[in-house]
Amino acid sequence: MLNANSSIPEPGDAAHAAGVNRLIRRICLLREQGMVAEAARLEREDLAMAVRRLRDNPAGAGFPEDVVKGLFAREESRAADAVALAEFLVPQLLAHWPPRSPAAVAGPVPPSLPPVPRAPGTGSPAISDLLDAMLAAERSNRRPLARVTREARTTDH
Amino acid sequence: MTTTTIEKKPETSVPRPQDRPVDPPRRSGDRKRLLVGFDLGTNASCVLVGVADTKDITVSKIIPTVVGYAREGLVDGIIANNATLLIGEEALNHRLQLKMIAPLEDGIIADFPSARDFIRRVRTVIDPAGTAEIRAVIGMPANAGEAAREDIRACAAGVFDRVLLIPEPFLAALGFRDDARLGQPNYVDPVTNSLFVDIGGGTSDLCLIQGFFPTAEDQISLPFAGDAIDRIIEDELQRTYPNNGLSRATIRQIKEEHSYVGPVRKPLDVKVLIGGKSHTLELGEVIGRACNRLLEKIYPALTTLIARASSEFVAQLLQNIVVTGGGSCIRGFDTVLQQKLMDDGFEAPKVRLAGQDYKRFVAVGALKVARSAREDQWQHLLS
Repeated sequence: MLNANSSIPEPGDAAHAAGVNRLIRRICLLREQGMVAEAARLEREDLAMAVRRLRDNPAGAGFPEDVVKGLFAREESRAADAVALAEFLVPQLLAHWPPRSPAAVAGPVPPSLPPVPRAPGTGSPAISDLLDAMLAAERSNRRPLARVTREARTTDH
Repeated sequence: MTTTTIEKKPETSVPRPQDRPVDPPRRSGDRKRLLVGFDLGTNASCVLVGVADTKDITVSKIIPTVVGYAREGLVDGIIANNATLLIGEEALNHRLQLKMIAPLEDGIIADFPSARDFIRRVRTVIDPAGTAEIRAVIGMPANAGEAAREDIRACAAGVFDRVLLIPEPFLAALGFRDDARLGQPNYVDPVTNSLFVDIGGGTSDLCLIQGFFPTAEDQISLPFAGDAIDRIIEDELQRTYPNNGLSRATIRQIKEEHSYVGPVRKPLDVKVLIGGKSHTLELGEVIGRACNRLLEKIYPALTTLIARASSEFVAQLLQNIVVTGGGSCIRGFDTVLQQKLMDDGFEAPKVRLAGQDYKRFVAVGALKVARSAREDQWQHLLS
């Protein structure tokens, strides 16, 4: 994958560079899934350390900031494509291959979801628009299948 | 807000009902289509039914969320038609002869078999002939996880044809909305900017509603509500009056009659029967402490959500804090909450109670959603 970019250091430090690329891909995926805090943490800690190691190594001297930016641009695009494909495929797969437990399959997804106004007090929203927003949020929450835990789960009485 | 003493979970395997199973036809075709607003509550459920493309409501029922399975060795005829499974009031009326199961706990399914039996039986209330296509909008606690949602879907599979699961506080706002007044200059649509506090039996759900569908960030669900108050009162009574023998149902009744928040009200004498003899108990402190505990739980969650609201619109939001659910019957809840907000410096807060019809708002909102949902928005259930 890194070989696609000629400005990325070659084989002496390939393992390190590949590690950086994997981290960047992971960060982009997390961002796409809405897990911004985790993405920021990875970028701030793990990625910064990996890049620093690479640059500290004489073989990795040719790893300037614009290469990192280039990797980000490429992985962002790939992550977006992957998520869009999953959004398209998952309902179809569920419709044809029943999952282990009885489950719901959302109806056909409209090609584009109308944006719902975020500013309150600007008129009464239509219920169907609100449902569009809910279904879009559900779809994004399903990747990965996340349980939203309750706050203050314990009762003290 | 609460129920009688009911086992929360079966000890072993739950007896399966011998009654006629519900087996809805699979193809919709020309079948009559019924739209259902279903508030599946921890202690009480509300179901509203309307024929599609009409404004009529054909069924409006509040059903205690409880399932009773006939105990072994019952004499013939004790229960009408020798039924082995009853739900709601019927089950409560025969609770001596039944093993009682509460299918839900903290607003979500705790016992799958009884939940499924409950929903199946509700279907016979909705559609006694069992021939209609049924599309149900079902309320879920705010912040219910995907596992809880999956449980509901699994229970509804084969019973309802299509479903939509929507957070309860949002449905309550839709139910509370006076559609006839929409557009009037002096009417603030609760769906455009409000904060709903829905205090049920199992959970207290708070939700910011600002004209768009609430995200997880807009909702807080606390597993502390009417049932927790009952437990506190029960524990305190046990300490003060050991071996009093008062059932949870009696305690619930006492709470519903005397609950309040704010400074301790004394004297609050309550007459009860203990061991067949009449006693007068002083319960002002016990009830006040238990109810104030609820307020203490809800207040930080409320202010957290207020802080998350857009600063541009928070002033209007503060005018629209609505308390609904059984907890809205606690005396002084609105005024004490409002005063607390004022004391903390919030600008002219206004807390109001949803009113006597609070038991139906979620189902009313759910039926409105059912009537507005487009064909592609309904979710199919695979059975």
